[in-house]
Amino acid sequence: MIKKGTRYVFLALAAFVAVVPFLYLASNALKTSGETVTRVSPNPFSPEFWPQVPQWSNFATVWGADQFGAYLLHSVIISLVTLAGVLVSSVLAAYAFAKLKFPGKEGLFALLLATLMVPETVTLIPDFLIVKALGWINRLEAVTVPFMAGAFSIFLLRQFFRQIPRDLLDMAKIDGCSHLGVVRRIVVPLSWAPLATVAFLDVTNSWNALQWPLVVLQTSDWRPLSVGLARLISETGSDVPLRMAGAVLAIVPIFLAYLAAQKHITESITAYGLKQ
Amino acid sequence: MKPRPRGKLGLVPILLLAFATAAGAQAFDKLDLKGTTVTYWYQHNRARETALQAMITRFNTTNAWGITVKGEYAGGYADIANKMIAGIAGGSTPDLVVAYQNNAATYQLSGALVDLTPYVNDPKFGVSAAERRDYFEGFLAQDLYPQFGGARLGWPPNRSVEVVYYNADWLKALGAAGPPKTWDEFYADCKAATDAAKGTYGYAVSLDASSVFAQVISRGGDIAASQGGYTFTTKPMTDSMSFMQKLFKDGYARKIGEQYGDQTDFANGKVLFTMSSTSGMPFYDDAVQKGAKGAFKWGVAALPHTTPEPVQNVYGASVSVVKSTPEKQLASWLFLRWMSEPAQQAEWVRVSNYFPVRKSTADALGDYLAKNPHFAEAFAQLSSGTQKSEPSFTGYDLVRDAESAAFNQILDGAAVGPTLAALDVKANRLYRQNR
Repeated sequence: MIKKGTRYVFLALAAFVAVVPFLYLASNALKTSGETVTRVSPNPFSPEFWPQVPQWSNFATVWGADQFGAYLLHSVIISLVTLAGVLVSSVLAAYAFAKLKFPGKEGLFALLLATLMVPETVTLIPDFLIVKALGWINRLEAVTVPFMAGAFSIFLLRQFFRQIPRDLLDMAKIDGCSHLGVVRRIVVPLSWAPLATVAFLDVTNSWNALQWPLVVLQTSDWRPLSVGLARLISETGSDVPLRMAGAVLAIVPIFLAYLAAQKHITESITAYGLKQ
Repeated sequence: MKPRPRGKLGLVPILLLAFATAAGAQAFDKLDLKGTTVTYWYQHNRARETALQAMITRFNTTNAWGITVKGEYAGGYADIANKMIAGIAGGSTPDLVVAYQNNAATYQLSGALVDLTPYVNDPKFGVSAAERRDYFEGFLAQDLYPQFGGARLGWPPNRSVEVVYYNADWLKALGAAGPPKTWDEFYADCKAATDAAKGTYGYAVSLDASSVFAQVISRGGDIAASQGGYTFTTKPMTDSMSFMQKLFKDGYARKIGEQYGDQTDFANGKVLFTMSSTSGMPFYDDAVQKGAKGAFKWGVAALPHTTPEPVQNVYGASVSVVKSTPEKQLASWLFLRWMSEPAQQAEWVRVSNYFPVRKSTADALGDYLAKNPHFAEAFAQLSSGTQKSEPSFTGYDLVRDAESAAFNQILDGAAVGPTLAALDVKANRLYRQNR
């Protein structure tokens, strides 16, 4: 009992430490710029940590003056379109790697996993050349299509699909299901937990991407929220409250997405020791 | 060695140059710029971007040639450099791009930029001799690249200078007549300002390579070797690092962990001196007005120096013209020339607080200089000292990182000589690798 209590105290402390940066973010988003100079403390129990009068107008300023609404809409569209592509391609590829027999399967899978070790910077120019050759510069395709297949998503789903009993799939086939029918009627309905995890991770990646959108989007037509946040950083000084307010606005949708998928993500982590 | 007699053959290059200039002038004159659109990638945001866009709109509606400039925010300096490198490989670049000198040198390894010399010298579209004298020569010199045969790969829209920010009221209370003129005075002031009980100290250390360079040139040195490459083992460099190590070890200087933490400590009356760019003055002013100590009198000064007159580190990104069509290149140059005219310069100073590149801009800034005494103070110093700039070598950004890391190690107690020797080797290796 004591052991369990100690564990909870430790976990509560760890959770508190993890939450402090977010509290700092929120409190600075609500301060005046003067307070970010005069009332500075890393301790949430100190009155200096918090604003004297919350400045809710900081959010309105960022939203209005910095086109955050447009950026947010772009990010939502980019994330959803990419997600749809990722789910389709990852489910099909993972099913093939988990349940089908074809020559070179293991080698191909190893090659796929090897792509996880190649940093984005290395592939930046070749990717750019391909996107340009396809005529996608400044278009939605440039920030969505290249991310519609992900080795990590395929790996994660393949691990789960391998647990599905072969007998179950065989029975479906006996009943006349094609491979696509098996995926649609058996595999997907059994896989909500890993699919939710893949969806969450993918949306997060799309949401946070900065370098690639800046390279392929040379006009503001499809620029995402991450670019909007970058615009709040100035060269020689900082308007801290606006930067923090922008960061809070950027985090909220991801936080909501996490809440929606939390149960499934926890389930996946418990079952497969998922780490990224 | 006796000078060689030149004879008539000596005239040949001069005649060729004159012919080339005349041919260039005629070629420019024949270009029809009507309807030419050029894209300009910049890093400015918020108020600066709004003002820049307004100026671009004015250029588009008033220029006599029918040129249209499309300005686009393209990310920070590093983002723009990434975009340019990818864009050069893929043939997808803007016509005008903001670029620090080392970035421009990197682009020019692929021959992507236009040498602006013929444009600048053109009798019709260029800059006249009288106008040329109006520019700060040190600013213009930054965009000449010995690595590329002296080509001019950029044109400055503005510049900044590394200065010492000082708390004037505090200095006065300490009995100092003014900001320190020598490094010994700087040390003494820092020592006097340090009080562990009150949490005050003398200098908030800037690990930035620009600050290191400013200290080195203030002692008559340089980090660019005359034969090419870098030199980090000179006496001015060693003296600068030894001085900072002692100041830090004695407890009169502190490192700043948080971005802009030096501004915060300065505004709260915790630190007497900081070292930073003049373009940060509005942020300092704002912070001091809101600081815990309440507003106090502060100022900016040239760094202490061992040279007879201050030698100032001048820096700032220029705008480069990317190779495209003759029409677009000329249109791009004409926009750059327009941006550096005094009227536009004055407008840009008011919003950016950067230094203008032309002296006569001051005539249109009377009220601004009166309202912004710190800017006026720093601007006046431009005329009293000489200016020097950091190397424009390809890969200098990597050397800057190595320089900051070495400085940090020295502050932490590493031996100055061996650390600088190792930095020298590393920097010169990077120099060779990036040529």
